[in-house]
This record gives sequence, structure tokens and C-alpha cells, in this order.
Amino acid sequence: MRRCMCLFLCLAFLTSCAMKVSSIKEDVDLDLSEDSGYLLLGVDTNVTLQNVDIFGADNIRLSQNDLRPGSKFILIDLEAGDYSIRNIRFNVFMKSKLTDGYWDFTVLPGGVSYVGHLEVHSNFRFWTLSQDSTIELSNRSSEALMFMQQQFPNILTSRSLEYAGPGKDDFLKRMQQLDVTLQESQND
Amino acid sequence: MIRLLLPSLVCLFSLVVNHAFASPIPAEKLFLEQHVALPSISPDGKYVSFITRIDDTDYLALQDTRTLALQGIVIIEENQKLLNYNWLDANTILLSVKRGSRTRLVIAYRDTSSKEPKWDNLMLKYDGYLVGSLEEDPENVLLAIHSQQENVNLELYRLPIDDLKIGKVFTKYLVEDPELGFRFYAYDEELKRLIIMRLDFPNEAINLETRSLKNNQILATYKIYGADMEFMPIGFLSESKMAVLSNKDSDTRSLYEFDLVTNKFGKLLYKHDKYDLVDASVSSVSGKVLSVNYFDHGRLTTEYFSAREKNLNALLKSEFGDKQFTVAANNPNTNHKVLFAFASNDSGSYYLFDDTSDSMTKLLPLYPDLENTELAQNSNFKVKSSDGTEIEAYLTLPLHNNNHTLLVMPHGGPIGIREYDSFNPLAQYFASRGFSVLRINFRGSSGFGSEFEKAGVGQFGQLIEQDISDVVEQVRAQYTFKNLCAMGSSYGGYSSMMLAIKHPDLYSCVVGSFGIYDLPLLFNSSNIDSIDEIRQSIENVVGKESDSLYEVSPVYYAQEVKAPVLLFAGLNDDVAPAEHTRRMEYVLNKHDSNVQAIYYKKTGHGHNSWLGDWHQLALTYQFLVDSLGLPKLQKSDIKAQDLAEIQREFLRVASFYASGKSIVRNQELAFKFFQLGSDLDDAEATYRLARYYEVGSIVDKNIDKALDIYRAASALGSEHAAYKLADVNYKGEWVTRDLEKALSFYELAKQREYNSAAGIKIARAYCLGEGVSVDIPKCLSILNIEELRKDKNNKNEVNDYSYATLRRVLAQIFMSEKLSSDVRRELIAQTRAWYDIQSVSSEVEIDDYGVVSKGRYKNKYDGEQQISLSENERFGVRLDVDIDANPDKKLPRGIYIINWQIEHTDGKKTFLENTLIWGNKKRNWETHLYNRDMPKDADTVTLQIKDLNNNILVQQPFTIIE
Repeated sequence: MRRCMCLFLCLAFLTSCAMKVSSIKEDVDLDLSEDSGYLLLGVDTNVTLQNVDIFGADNIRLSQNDLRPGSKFILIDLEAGDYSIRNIRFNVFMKSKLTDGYWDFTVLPGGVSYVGHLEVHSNFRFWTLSQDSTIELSNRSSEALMFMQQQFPNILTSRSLEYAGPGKDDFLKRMQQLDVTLQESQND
Repeated sequence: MIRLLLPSLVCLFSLVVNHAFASPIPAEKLFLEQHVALPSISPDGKYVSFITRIDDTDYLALQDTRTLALQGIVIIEENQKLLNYNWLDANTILLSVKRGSRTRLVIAYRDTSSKEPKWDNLMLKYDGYLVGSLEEDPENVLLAIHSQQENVNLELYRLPIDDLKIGKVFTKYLVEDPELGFRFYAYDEELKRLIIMRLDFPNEAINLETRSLKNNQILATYKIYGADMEFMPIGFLSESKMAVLSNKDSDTRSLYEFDLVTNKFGKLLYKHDKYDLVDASVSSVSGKVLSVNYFDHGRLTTEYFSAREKNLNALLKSEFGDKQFTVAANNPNTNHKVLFAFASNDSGSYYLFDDTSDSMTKLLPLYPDLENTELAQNSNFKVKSSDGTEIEAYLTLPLHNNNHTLLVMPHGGPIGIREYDSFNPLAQYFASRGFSVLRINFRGSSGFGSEFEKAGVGQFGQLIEQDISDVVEQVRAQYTFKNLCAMGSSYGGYSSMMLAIKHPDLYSCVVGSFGIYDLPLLFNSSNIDSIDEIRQSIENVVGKESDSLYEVSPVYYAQEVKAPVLLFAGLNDDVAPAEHTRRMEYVLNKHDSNVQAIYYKKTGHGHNSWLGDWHQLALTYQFLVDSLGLPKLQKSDIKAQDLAEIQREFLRVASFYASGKSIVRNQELAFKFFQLGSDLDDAEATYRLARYYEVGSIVDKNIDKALDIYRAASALGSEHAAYKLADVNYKGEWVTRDLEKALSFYELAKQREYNSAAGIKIARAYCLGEGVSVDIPKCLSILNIEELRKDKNNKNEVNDYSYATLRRVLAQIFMSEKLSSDVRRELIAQTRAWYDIQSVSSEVEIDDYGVVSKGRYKNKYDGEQQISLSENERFGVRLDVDIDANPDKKLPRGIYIINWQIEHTDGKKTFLENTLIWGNKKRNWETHLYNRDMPKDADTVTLQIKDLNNNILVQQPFTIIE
């Protein structure tokens, strides 16, 4: 069982300067500036999370509406650059500060950067997380690709989808190349 | 807690004698926990004891060594598990029982003072284990007890056995140990030394201490430092020397002397040139090696060194013939041994050997259901691979009905795992269905020395698959196969896919379960993979992360796969995340390949219950049949005693697909497997199949066909079908109303142990004289389902559906004009008693009405009488109920009839829902109808709220609009 990488849980109230964002709902490619791109983040949680703070080139806060139990994607446009998921707040009393270095990702300029699925699986016991809680950033690129193909085909036509989470993974790049090859062979 | 089992267990082990008959062996008989384990011989040699498992319950059983009579002496309660036990003396046994997350000791003892001694037991309030019995002090034992103190794991006590029997609390440790942390106690009976082992984590060392029990003085202390090699202590050779299994200076794991004083290895005691040792035994008195064990060609082999043991081994070999055997328990004082003998075509049994008379008696088999079932035998053989490496393999050919299909099954790992030439349930499952099964110890497998194991590292898709292919070629040179399929789990899934990629013309299908298909993803499947230790552990198997891994990843060579593919994955798999399977499925679909993927919910790297294995096997078998165009399984192919279990295999797959509980719902596949089950005359599958024709799901709606199939299901014994046909005849919806027929079907359903709803509808017939003469006492008696629920012998379950049916039936009876006023009075009195109703008067008003939506605290109503509904919407009313009762009742209860009546577009009126609603003022008095329950020709729907005298108290009409 993979253990969560929480450093500590604190019972203090926090103030934050992160900006609340709302995800893109319509499949219309935005007129992005040269130094911005799309962030695609999957969220898979069995508990309601109050918010998730992401710090970096821009500081953003994902809100409760995006963080209800279930599996979903959040697509937003952001300033390109390096980011890190910093905090997960479960409720007004409890927050998990994530270990530095394991939650970093990059938003690439001009493209759609899939950075992984934030997976939170826990059982609350007396306002604390259960021993077997897991918080993880998982690479589920194939799901991200199918999501974009089904929900945002127009954006995917004009933007490349790349994995930009922890580690290096060429799957998305190779699959988009494969699409081109298959299309070409069909045309031939 | 722990109960005594008085009746003999003999009947539970009585064996069904099967006649030799080619027949598939049900998965439920092959994949299950073994029925007996951990044999031991009582100190007086009168009994062999076992942990036995029957119907998910653990027992401690004794088998008389003279009469062979079996007796269960302790039953472990449901949700508890018997982990271990030890004889303390001839009349006392110490058990370790797991209860939830805790473990407790239980003392079982026989009161020998009475004329008919019987076993009793007591659960102690602590956990621990037996460290040793004392030959010179048989009244006492050494016991390690888990301490209540923080940071202290164990305390060692020397205790009178009699104190344990009365659960006496003890306070004095034998060894006062100031050191905190993990420790382990052992007692060497030959040296009569207490051994204390402590882990020294900071120094990666083990501290070992020996003490004399006489004065508890420390005799010696040793520190053993860990190193990059295997180190498995076997036993003491003397006060300061141990025998250790290690690969320090040898390729194969060998037996070495280890000097505890100098912390250095001494002389090599035994080495096999080809095979790793798996165990050994030594004597601390003689300082000699007694025996060593290894797997020779996958067969468990024991080599003895004394002339006496060698002779005995020769005698046993002649007795067991081709079977492999090992000593499972030994009592040198009574000259009894318990031997375990097994073979590839024998799932294994325990035998009692009397050394004095050289006599052998068969005791219990591990799997009683497989006794007398014909199993296929392996042949083991060696192949020189392309680069000259010697590879061992095992081929299982079917005994009957050979379908000339070879299933090549690469094992998982691939490093440090191996196959054996012993009973293999998977090979037997497929061999009994006509398949040949090939298992291979390719390079990287354990048991053949460290060089052979290391040779597999980084050989994914390369030399490992070359080894497999070399073996396959040799087998194909000897036997003719029409089809080859590759099938495996974990690495085996990867290897199967690679074999199909490398040899697209050879393999006709691929089954990969919990597999890895994109090797770079192993390093990047999660942020946790960034941790250095995890990366290192992956590198130890796959080699370093590099772009060359794309060259051996099936995901990027999917275009080469020509064969149909079946994939299984666990959505909680941390070892081979489901993303591997999703990628493989995605890219195969891109290439228009024939691929089917099943993702198990709440499942990790393999199933956590046998149910998952059974499901997967049935799906795999049918995939093979469909992909290879093999003949479908016929009822005549199956032994009568196995039919129900084989039928269940198809029903299980169908039910998983239909419910969507464990896998993604897929009604088309559910229908297919219900059909397959029905083809084998399974009553339940046939009933479920009829439902599809009734509702027009997957197939065109066809009521006549549905009715025919319901009739067939009922004829096969389905209680559900009988109940359905009863309802059909009662309602007269699809057939001419026939109340007598309806009653006879309700009776049939009841007799077949349908839930108590069948009885409730029989009661309705007696109350209203429908198909039978009115019999009010009988009606009231049957309707009293609370009494039925309390009856331990009741076979008609009382469940939520029964209670809902009771409310509906009571509403129907109260609304009937056939009810005489006397009978109504009697029924009202009974109903008020059943539902604990105290109201003397009450008023009901409609508070809210219209289409319902969820509010924050309570439902919202839109207040519209005209209803235009979308798919899952509902409409209804909230009632305002004011109940008066005698002043002593603070929250009196009232009860009403709810009657939803429909007027159809053709003017016809029907009842849609009748039921009772009851409760106190504080309950949520609401009633709703869902759109999906509405007939398409509904014009007006009227809700009537009535009292039990059938008087309308209030009503609310709704008009249905497009």
C-alpha cells in the first residue's frame, strides 16, 4: 500500500493569496498569449475536498465544486511555467501540506499540459485521516487523452496534449503521432 | 466465542466417489483454501491434530492415530481465523486466533478427571506465542506475551500450564529486558538455551544473545551484520556456530557454517551444483547436517545424510512411487511422522507413518473435493536455449477431449519467481477443458542460482521471450497443435503480449491480467515513483530507464498484434497500475484489433477473494472458446455433481456485468453469459434471460418469448420464475387472469424458498377468496411475518422486499370491496398492532405537490398540477398530518392507505401503486411516482389518501402532458 506523502496535518486556519479558478466548459480554443497554456488535471477522490492550492508562475486554488467525490478533469488556462501542488484542505479544521519536490509540474506554453490525476482516498476518523489514506499524483494519460478527444476535440485539434507531471512520459506524444500516421495511411 | 464441537467431523470429510469421466473441473473446486493445514502429533502420539476449514469456518480437529476417527475440538467463530497452535502437553493445546485486527491466545484442554474426558477452552486476554516446552520441567512452558507497555514488544514468562487453563494473570517476566524495540525469543531444546534476537536497525545488524534457563545468565552475545547476500539461519551447530543458507561464495544458495563469535562464514556444509537449497536441518548435539531440500526439475527433493534416514527415505520413496513427499510433523518419542505427499496430478494428502512398524496410513487430503477426480500429469523437461542456457519447463497435456490448443503461460516476476512440477490449479482448470498448458522457468526464475536469476534482469522482450520461444519450438516439434495462445499475469501478461507481437502468425489469442505493457510508465506511473528507493527497485528488474524501453513495450508495437486480446486489470493495482492496460486497450482499438478489457473495482494486483478468480477464469475460458472457434460447453460434457458449479461460472460472469458492482456494467455481455448459462439449463440464468425479453433490453421486447422462458426457468426450478408467473397470472396482464394458477405458482415459489413475499400473496388469496375459499385465520397467520422472522426454521427469508410487499398487499386488501365489516375490523386491529398504531383520530392535508427536486434540507415541490416529466424525474405530494391519541402518548403513530390511480388516454382506469404509509407526526410524510414507472398512455394520475376503512381523506389529481 502506498502511503500518503503528507508531511503533517495541522489544525490551524489558513489564509491564502491563491486565486480561485473555474474550469473551461466549452470546446472553444482560447486566444492564449504566447506565455500561457492549458492545464489539465484529473481529480479522483472519495472524500469532498475543500480546496487544493497550486503555487508557481501563478497561484491558484481549486474549489469544492471541482473536488467532490468522483473522478473528473479540470481544464484551465494558465500562465506557462513551473508549478507545485502545495496544500490540500479537507475541511475547515484539517489541511495536508504536501512534501516539496514530489508534486511539481510544468504548464507548457501554447499546449495542453496533462499533469496527472490527484488521487485522494481516505476515511475520516474523528477529524483525522485514516491510517490507510493515500494522496498521490498518478499518471493516467490514456484517460486524459480520451477525455480530450471526447469533450474537447476542437481544442485538441489545434493544441498538442503532453504529459507534464512528475517524470517523463512520451505516451501522449506518440499517440498523437500515431493518429497522424493512421490518418495519412487512410488518406493514401 | 470459541465453541466446542461434539459431533464427529468424519461425515464432513466423507468423500464423493467420482467415476472417471472427462469433464471440466469447476473453478470452485480448484481455487479455494486448503481444507487442512498445520498437522501436529500429540505428545503421547494418540492424535494427529490439524487446522481444518469447512464452509469458511476454522476448526481444530484431532484424528485418532489408531482408529482414524476425527473429532473437532474447537470451532473458531465466524470472522475469526485460527492462525497457529502448539501442544503444551498431551491434554493441553495453545491456539492463536485472529479476531479482526487483533490476535488472542486460546487455551484448549481436556479435563481428564471425569469419566468421559471432554475438551474445553478459554480465550486469554493476551497475544503471544509458545517459545518452548521444557523436557526437564513438563509442568511449565516458556511463553512470549505481547506487552501492554508502550515500545515493548514481548515479555518472556515461564508459566505453569495449569495457570493458563484458568486464565491466571501473571506479573513476573523471566527475562527483564531494558532494551526497547522488536525482539524475538526462541528455545533450542537440544542445547537447552534461550535465544533472544533483537533487530539493530541503525547498524543494519541482528543482536543475538544466548542464555541459560537455570540462572537466566547471559552466556554469549553476538552481532550479525547484514550484507548484500542471502542469509537464512537454519539452526545451531554448537554453542557458537550456526548453519546458514547463503549464496556468499557460491552461485547457488548453499549451506554454510557461520561463526557467531567472529561473525564470519566457516566451511561450506552442502552445495548443489545447479539448484538453490530451500531448507535444511541440523543437529546442535552432533553438529551435523541431517538433511537438505531443493527443487530438482521442479520436484521437491530431500537429501538425507545418516544411513538410517537414507534407508527410511528409500522405503518411503518405494511407498509413494512418483509422488513427492516431505515430513510435515514428527514425534521422535512415539516414532510417529506425518508425511505430506503430492504430485502434479495429486493435490496432496497427509499420511501417518509409524517408524516402529513401518506402517503407513492415509489421513486427510488438502482438497477433499478433488479426491478421485482425475487430474492431468505434468511432464518436466529441459531445453537448451539459443545461447546454450538450460531452461526447465513443465507441460500438462489434457487427459481427454484434447482441443489441440497449447496455452503458453509465462510466469510473473520475472525475477525471483518460478514454476514447480507440482499440483497447479490453473493448469488443471484448463487441462480439464481440453487445453495443453506449458509453464517455463526462463532465465530470471529463482531456484537455479544467482547468475541464472540475474541473467533475466533487463531482458524484457528479449532473452526471456527467446527462452520461452525456444521451449515452445521444442514442444511443437513433439506435439501437433492447431492453436497457440499466450496467457499470463503481471510480467506474464507483458510476456504474452510480446510473444504475440514477435510471433504474430503463431499465436491465435492473448490473455493478459494485471499486466505491464508500457515499460517507461513503470518509472513514471505516479509521483511516488520519483522516490529513489522505488526507482532502484524497478531498475533491479527492468534495468535503467532509457528510451530503449519503448522498443520493448507492447503499447508501441500494438500494430503487430493480430490475435484477439483479453485484458484484466485491477483499478487499485499499485504494482501494475490499470493505466498499463488502458494504454494497451486504447492503442489496440486504434489499430482496430479485437480487444476486450475488464477493469475490476476495489482490486489490486490480483483478486482479494476467490470470487474474482472464478469470474476471471470463466471469462477467460469463454474468450478462448470464442476466439478459437472451439465447441461450446454442453451439459452432456459436465459431470452431474459438477453441473451446478459450472452453471454458476456463467451466471457469475453475467451477474457481474449486469450489476456493474465489481466491473463496468455491460448488458450485452450480461445477456450473452445468461444465455450461455441458460443453455446449460441453469434455472437462475434462464430466469434472468427472460427479463431482457420482458423489458426489451438488448433484444427486442417480446412478451410471449419472455413468458416461454419464464416457464422454462420455472420448470428448471427457479423460485423467481415461479413468483413471476404467479404475478403474471394474478394480474392477468399478459395472460388471461387465472387466480388458481397464480396461487399454485405462489405456493411453488414459497416451496422453493422464495422470500416471504410469496407467502404474503398467498395470504391475500385467503383473505379475499382469490382462487381459494376465504380463510381469515389462515390469512392473518401468514401475514404475521414478524413471527416468521423469529422462526429459526423458516426458509422464506423476511427482508425489505417482504415488508414492502406486506404494505402493498394490506393496502389492496383494505381497498377491496369483498372485505366484510367484521373481517375489516379484525384486520384493522391486527394491522394497528403490527405497526404499533395509537391514533384515535387524525387529519390529513396536502402540504406541497408537483415535480420534486432536492432541497438542502428537504425536497422541493414546484406546485404544478400539470406534469411534464423527463427521464428520471418524479412527482408527488408532501402531507401535513395531525395525529391525536391518548394523552400519555407523546408521539402517537397513524397509518393511511396510499392509492395512485391512473386514467389512461382510452379512459381505462388502473391502480399503479397501493401501499401503506405510517409513522408519527415527525416523519417525512411524502409519496412520489417516478416517470420510469408511468405507462406511456397515462392521461391523469390521481393520488388518494385513505383510512383503513377505505374512506378517501384527501386526493390530488395530476395531468400528464407531453
